[in-house]
Amino acid sequence: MDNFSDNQYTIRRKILTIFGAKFHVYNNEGELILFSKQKAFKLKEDIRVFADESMAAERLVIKARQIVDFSAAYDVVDPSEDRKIGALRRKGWKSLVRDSWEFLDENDQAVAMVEEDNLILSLIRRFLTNLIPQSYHVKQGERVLITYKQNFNPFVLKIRVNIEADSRDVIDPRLALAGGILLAAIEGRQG
Amino acid sequence: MKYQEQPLHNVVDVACDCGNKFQVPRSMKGGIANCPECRKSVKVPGGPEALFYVLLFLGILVVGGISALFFALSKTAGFIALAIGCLIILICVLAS
Repeated sequence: MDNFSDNQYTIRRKILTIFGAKFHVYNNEGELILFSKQKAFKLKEDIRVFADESMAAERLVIKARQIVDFSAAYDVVDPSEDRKIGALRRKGWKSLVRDSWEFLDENDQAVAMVEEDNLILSLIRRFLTNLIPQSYHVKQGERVLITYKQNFNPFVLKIRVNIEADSRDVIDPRLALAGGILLAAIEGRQG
Repeated sequence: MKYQEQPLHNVVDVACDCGNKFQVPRSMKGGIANCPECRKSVKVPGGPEALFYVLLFLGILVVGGISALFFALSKTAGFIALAIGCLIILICVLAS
Protein backbone atom coordinates (compact mmCIF):
# COMPACT_ATOMS: atom_id res chain seq x y z
CA MET A 1 0.00 0.00 0.00
CA ASP A 2 3.10 2.26 0.33
CA ASN A 3 2.74 3.59 -3.19
CA PHE A 4 -0.89 4.54 -2.68
CA SER A 5 -0.64 7.00 0.19
CA ASP A 6 -1.20 10.06 -2.01
CA ASN A 7 -4.61 11.57 -2.57
CA GLN A 8 -3.94 12.76 -6.11
CA TYR A 9 -2.83 10.73 -9.11
CA THR A 10 -2.67 11.16 -12.85
CA ILE A 11 -3.58 8.41 -15.29
CA ARG A 12 -2.19 8.88 -18.77
CA ARG A 13 -3.36 6.82 -21.71
CA LYS A 14 -1.50 6.91 -24.99
CA ILE A 15 -4.03 7.35 -27.77
CA LEU A 16 -1.64 6.79 -30.67
CA THR A 17 -0.85 3.19 -29.81
CA ILE A 18 -1.73 1.09 -32.87
CA PHE A 19 -3.07 -1.98 -31.04
CA GLY A 20 -4.23 -1.96 -27.45
CA ALA A 21 -3.38 0.88 -25.10
CA LYS A 22 -0.74 1.85 -22.59
CA PHE A 23 -1.53 3.41 -19.23
CA HIS A 24 0.86 5.24 -16.93
CA VAL A 25 -0.18 6.18 -13.42
CA TYR A 26 1.77 8.89 -11.64
CA ASN A 27 1.56 9.97 -8.02
CA ASN A 28 1.33 13.58 -6.89
CA GLU A 29 5.12 13.99 -7.16
CA GLY A 30 5.04 12.85 -10.77
CA GLU A 31 6.64 9.47 -10.09
CA LEU A 32 5.45 6.50 -12.11
CA ILE A 33 3.75 4.10 -9.73
CA LEU A 34 1.77 1.89 -12.11
CA PHE A 35 2.03 0.85 -15.73
CA SER A 36 -0.33 -1.21 -17.81
CA LYS A 37 -0.47 -2.47 -21.36
CA GLN A 38 -3.97 -3.35 -22.49
CA LYS A 39 -3.99 -6.05 -25.13
CA ALA A 40 -6.06 -5.51 -28.26
CA PHE A 41 -8.60 -8.03 -29.58
CA LYS A 42 -9.37 -9.47 -26.18
CA LEU A 43 -13.00 -10.34 -25.76
CA LYS A 44 -12.65 -10.94 -22.06
CA GLU A 45 -10.79 -8.01 -20.58
CA ASP A 46 -7.79 -8.98 -18.44
CA ILE A 47 -5.74 -5.92 -17.60
CA ARG A 48 -2.45 -6.51 -15.79
CA VAL A 49 -1.06 -3.51 -13.95
CA PHE A 50 2.65 -3.44 -13.11
CA ALA A 51 4.86 -1.31 -10.90
CA ASP A 52 6.75 0.10 -13.91
CA GLU A 53 7.42 -0.36 -17.61
CA SER A 54 9.75 -3.31 -17.03
CA MET A 55 6.55 -5.21 -16.15
CA ALA A 56 8.45 -7.29 -13.60
CA ALA A 57 6.28 -6.70 -10.55
CA GLU A 58 2.55 -7.16 -10.98
CA ARG A 59 0.57 -4.83 -8.75
CA LEU A 60 -3.06 -5.26 -9.82
CA VAL A 61 -5.13 -7.56 -11.96
CA ILE A 62 -8.40 -6.26 -13.43
CA LYS A 63 -10.43 -9.13 -14.82
CA ALA A 64 -13.81 -9.13 -16.52
CA ARG A 65 -16.22 -11.78 -15.29
CA GLN A 66 -17.89 -12.29 -18.60
CA ILE A 67 -16.96 -11.94 -22.23
CA VAL A 68 -19.51 -9.42 -23.41
CA ASP A 69 -18.92 -6.19 -21.53
CA PHE A 70 -22.28 -4.46 -21.91
CA SER A 71 -23.05 -4.66 -18.20
CA ALA A 72 -19.74 -6.17 -17.28
CA ALA A 73 -18.26 -6.50 -13.83
CA TYR A 74 -14.51 -6.36 -13.31
CA ASP A 75 -12.83 -7.95 -10.31
CA VAL A 76 -9.74 -6.23 -8.98
CA VAL A 77 -7.12 -8.44 -7.35
CA ASP A 78 -3.86 -7.58 -5.61
CA PRO A 79 -1.57 -10.43 -6.72
CA SER A 80 0.97 -9.73 -3.97
CA GLU A 81 -1.67 -10.63 -1.38
CA ASP A 82 -3.57 -12.99 -3.73
CA ARG A 83 -6.69 -11.26 -2.58
CA LYS A 84 -9.61 -9.57 -4.27
CA ILE A 85 -9.87 -5.92 -3.25
CA GLY A 86 -13.28 -5.28 -4.78
CA ALA A 87 -14.94 -4.92 -8.13
CA LEU A 88 -16.43 -2.41 -10.54
CA ARG A 89 -19.65 -2.97 -12.42
CA ARG A 90 -20.68 -0.99 -15.47
CA LYS A 91 -24.35 -0.16 -15.67
CA GLY A 92 -24.91 -0.98 -19.33
CA TRP A 93 -28.30 0.58 -20.08
CA LYS A 94 -27.69 3.70 -18.04
CA SER A 95 -24.27 4.14 -19.65
CA LEU A 96 -25.86 4.46 -23.07
CA VAL A 97 -26.65 8.07 -22.25
CA ARG A 98 -24.43 8.72 -19.25
CA ASP A 99 -21.51 6.56 -18.04
CA SER A 100 -22.49 4.87 -14.79
CA TRP A 101 -20.52 2.40 -12.73
CA GLU A 102 -20.72 0.89 -9.28
CA PHE A 103 -17.91 0.21 -6.87
CA LEU A 104 -18.44 -3.17 -5.20
CA ASP A 105 -16.78 -4.48 -2.07
CA GLU A 106 -15.20 -7.93 -1.94
CA ASN A 107 -18.63 -9.44 -1.16
CA ASP A 108 -20.12 -7.86 -4.27
CA GLN A 109 -22.12 -5.28 -2.37
CA ALA A 110 -22.35 -1.82 -3.96
CA VAL A 111 -20.52 0.74 -1.84
CA ALA A 112 -20.47 3.74 -4.17
CA MET A 113 -21.75 4.98 -7.51
CA VAL A 114 -19.70 6.48 -10.33
CA GLU A 115 -21.46 8.83 -12.69
CA GLU A 116 -20.46 11.08 -15.55
CA ASP A 117 -20.62 14.72 -14.45
CA ASN A 118 -23.52 16.09 -16.47
CA LEU A 119 -26.30 14.53 -18.57
CA ILE A 120 -26.33 17.24 -21.22
CA LEU A 121 -22.55 17.20 -21.60
CA SER A 122 -22.56 13.40 -21.76
CA LEU A 123 -25.12 13.53 -24.60
CA ILE A 124 -23.04 16.16 -26.45
CA ARG A 125 -19.96 13.93 -26.03
CA ARG A 126 -21.82 10.98 -27.50
CA PHE A 127 -23.62 12.60 -30.39
CA LEU A 128 -21.65 15.74 -31.30
CA THR A 129 -18.02 15.79 -30.19
CA ASN A 130 -15.82 13.81 -27.85
CA LEU A 131 -13.49 16.77 -27.36
CA ILE A 132 -15.28 17.87 -24.20
CA PRO A 133 -13.27 16.43 -21.29
CA GLN A 134 -15.13 13.98 -19.08
CA SER A 135 -15.48 14.13 -15.32
CA TYR A 136 -16.76 11.46 -13.01
CA HIS A 137 -17.80 11.66 -9.39
CA VAL A 138 -17.74 8.64 -7.12
CA LYS A 139 -20.45 9.14 -4.54
CA GLN A 140 -21.82 7.37 -1.53
CA GLY A 141 -25.18 9.02 -1.20
CA GLU A 142 -24.38 12.70 -1.54
CA ARG A 143 -20.85 12.32 -0.22
CA VAL A 144 -18.18 12.65 -2.92
CA LEU A 145 -15.40 10.11 -2.39
CA ILE A 146 -13.36 10.33 -5.57
CA THR A 147 -13.27 12.60 -8.61
CA TYR A 148 -11.91 11.59 -12.01
CA LYS A 149 -11.31 14.63 -14.17
CA GLN A 150 -10.09 14.39 -17.74
CA ASN A 151 -7.78 17.12 -19.06
CA PHE A 152 -8.38 18.58 -22.47
CA ASN A 153 -5.84 17.02 -24.81
CA PRO A 154 -6.91 15.39 -28.11
CA PHE A 155 -3.73 13.25 -28.32
CA VAL A 156 -3.15 12.03 -24.77
CA LEU A 157 -5.95 11.02 -22.45
CA LYS A 158 -5.07 12.33 -19.00
CA ILE A 159 -7.29 11.69 -16.02
CA ARG A 160 -6.65 13.41 -12.74
CA VAL A 161 -7.75 11.25 -9.81
CA ASN A 162 -8.59 13.02 -6.58
CA ILE A 163 -9.26 10.77 -3.60
CA GLU A 164 -10.90 12.51 -0.65
CA ALA A 165 -8.86 11.95 2.50
CA ASP A 166 -11.75 10.49 4.47
CA SER A 167 -12.85 8.10 1.70
CA ARG A 168 -10.13 5.50 2.21
CA ASP A 169 -12.26 3.59 4.70
CA VAL A 170 -14.92 3.13 1.97
CA ILE A 171 -12.82 2.60 -1.15
CA ASP A 172 -9.31 1.19 -1.22
CA PRO A 173 -7.05 3.57 -3.23
CA ARG A 174 -5.93 0.61 -5.36
CA LEU A 175 -9.57 0.07 -6.33
CA ALA A 176 -9.91 3.79 -7.02
CA LEU A 177 -6.95 3.64 -9.43
CA ALA A 178 -8.25 0.46 -11.03
CA GLY A 179 -11.51 2.36 -11.56
CA GLY A 180 -9.64 5.19 -13.25
CA ILE A 181 -7.77 2.78 -15.53
CA LEU A 182 -11.04 1.06 -16.43
CA LEU A 183 -12.75 4.37 -17.19
CA ALA A 184 -9.83 5.28 -19.45
CA ALA A 185 -9.81 1.83 -21.07
CA ILE A 186 -13.51 1.08 -21.45
CA GLU A 187 -15.19 4.47 -21.65
CA GLY A 188 -12.22 5.80 -23.61
CA ARG A 189 -13.35 3.58 -26.49
CA GLN A 190 -16.49 5.55 -27.19
CA GLY A 191 -14.46 8.43 -28.57
CA MET B 1 -27.14 -9.22 1.74
CA LYS B 2 -24.44 -11.72 2.77
CA TYR B 3 -23.83 -14.93 0.81
CA GLN B 4 -25.65 -17.03 3.38
CA GLU B 5 -28.80 -14.91 3.07
CA GLN B 6 -29.07 -15.34 -0.69
CA PRO B 7 -31.85 -17.62 -2.04
CA LEU B 8 -30.41 -21.04 -3.04
CA HIS B 9 -30.97 -20.56 -6.79
CA ASN B 10 -29.12 -17.26 -6.60
CA VAL B 11 -25.80 -18.63 -5.44
CA VAL B 12 -22.83 -20.43 -6.97
CA ASP B 13 -20.81 -23.07 -5.12
CA VAL B 14 -17.11 -22.37 -4.90
CA ALA B 15 -14.38 -24.78 -3.80
CA CYS B 16 -11.14 -23.27 -2.55
CA ASP B 17 -7.73 -24.99 -2.77
CA CYS B 18 -7.58 -24.88 1.03
CA GLY B 19 -10.48 -27.35 1.10
CA ASN B 20 -13.14 -24.87 2.16
CA LYS B 21 -16.42 -24.79 0.25
CA PHE B 22 -18.58 -21.70 0.21
CA GLN B 23 -21.25 -19.93 -1.80
CA VAL B 24 -21.22 -16.60 -3.58
CA PRO B 25 -23.99 -14.61 -5.31
CA ARG B 26 -24.73 -15.63 -8.89
CA SER B 27 -23.63 -12.17 -10.04
CA MET B 28 -20.05 -13.26 -9.28
CA LYS B 29 -20.22 -16.16 -11.77
CA GLY B 30 -17.04 -16.31 -13.82
CA GLY B 31 -15.35 -13.84 -11.48
CA ILE B 32 -13.19 -13.96 -8.38
CA ALA B 33 -14.14 -14.31 -4.70
CA ASN B 34 -12.14 -14.32 -1.50
CA CYS B 35 -12.27 -17.54 0.47
CA PRO B 36 -13.78 -16.77 3.90
CA GLU B 37 -11.43 -19.35 5.45
CA CYS B 38 -7.93 -18.71 4.02
CA ARG B 39 -8.77 -15.19 2.66
CA LYS B 40 -7.12 -15.98 -0.70
CA SER B 41 -8.74 -15.26 -4.04
CA VAL B 42 -10.55 -18.13 -5.75
CA LYS B 43 -12.02 -18.38 -9.23
CA VAL B 44 -15.81 -18.60 -9.24
CA PRO B 45 -16.97 -21.25 -11.73
CA GLY B 46 -19.04 -20.15 -14.68
CA GLY B 47 -18.51 -20.37 -18.39
CA PRO B 48 -19.36 -17.81 -21.01
CA GLU B 49 -22.88 -16.44 -20.85
CA ALA B 50 -25.62 -17.19 -23.38
CA LEU B 51 -25.02 -13.89 -25.18
CA PHE B 52 -21.54 -15.11 -26.16
CA TYR B 53 -23.02 -18.15 -27.90
CA VAL B 54 -25.62 -15.95 -29.64
CA LEU B 55 -22.83 -13.67 -30.92
CA LEU B 56 -20.75 -16.67 -31.97
CA PHE B 57 -23.74 -18.09 -33.89
CA LEU B 58 -24.32 -14.71 -35.57
CA GLY B 59 -20.61 -14.54 -36.45
CA ILE B 60 -20.78 -17.98 -38.08
CA LEU B 61 -23.91 -16.92 -40.00
CA VAL B 62 -22.21 -13.74 -41.27
CA VAL B 63 -19.05 -15.63 -42.30
CA GLY B 64 -21.17 -18.30 -44.00
CA GLY B 65 -23.26 -15.68 -45.82
CA ILE B 66 -20.27 -13.66 -47.04
CA SER B 67 -18.43 -16.82 -48.11
CA ALA B 68 -21.50 -17.97 -50.06
CA LEU B 69 -21.53 -14.65 -51.92
CA PHE B 70 -17.87 -15.06 -52.82
CA PHE B 71 -18.48 -18.69 -53.83
CA ALA B 72 -21.03 -17.40 -56.31
CA LEU B 73 -18.27 -15.29 -57.90
CA SER B 74 -15.53 -17.92 -57.83
CA LYS B 75 -14.72 -21.03 -55.82
CA THR B 76 -11.25 -19.80 -54.85
CA ALA B 77 -12.60 -16.47 -53.56
CA GLY B 78 -15.22 -18.38 -51.56
CA PHE B 79 -12.63 -20.63 -49.94
CA ILE B 80 -10.40 -17.63 -49.12
CA ALA B 81 -13.35 -15.74 -47.58
CA LEU B 82 -14.34 -18.82 -45.58
CA ALA B 83 -10.77 -19.37 -44.36
CA ILE B 84 -10.36 -15.72 -43.32
CA GLY B 85 -13.76 -15.71 -41.59
CA CYS B 86 -13.02 -18.94 -39.71
CA LEU B 87 -9.63 -17.57 -38.69
CA ILE B 88 -11.21 -14.37 -37.32
CA ILE B 89 -13.79 -16.36 -35.34
CA LEU B 90 -11.07 -18.71 -34.03
CA ILE B 91 -8.90 -15.75 -32.93
CA CYS B 92 -11.89 -14.15 -31.17
CA VAL B 93 -12.77 -17.36 -29.33
CA LEU B 94 -9.16 -18.11 -28.36
CA ALA B 95 -8.59 -14.52 -27.25
CA SER B 96 -11.63 -14.75 -25.01
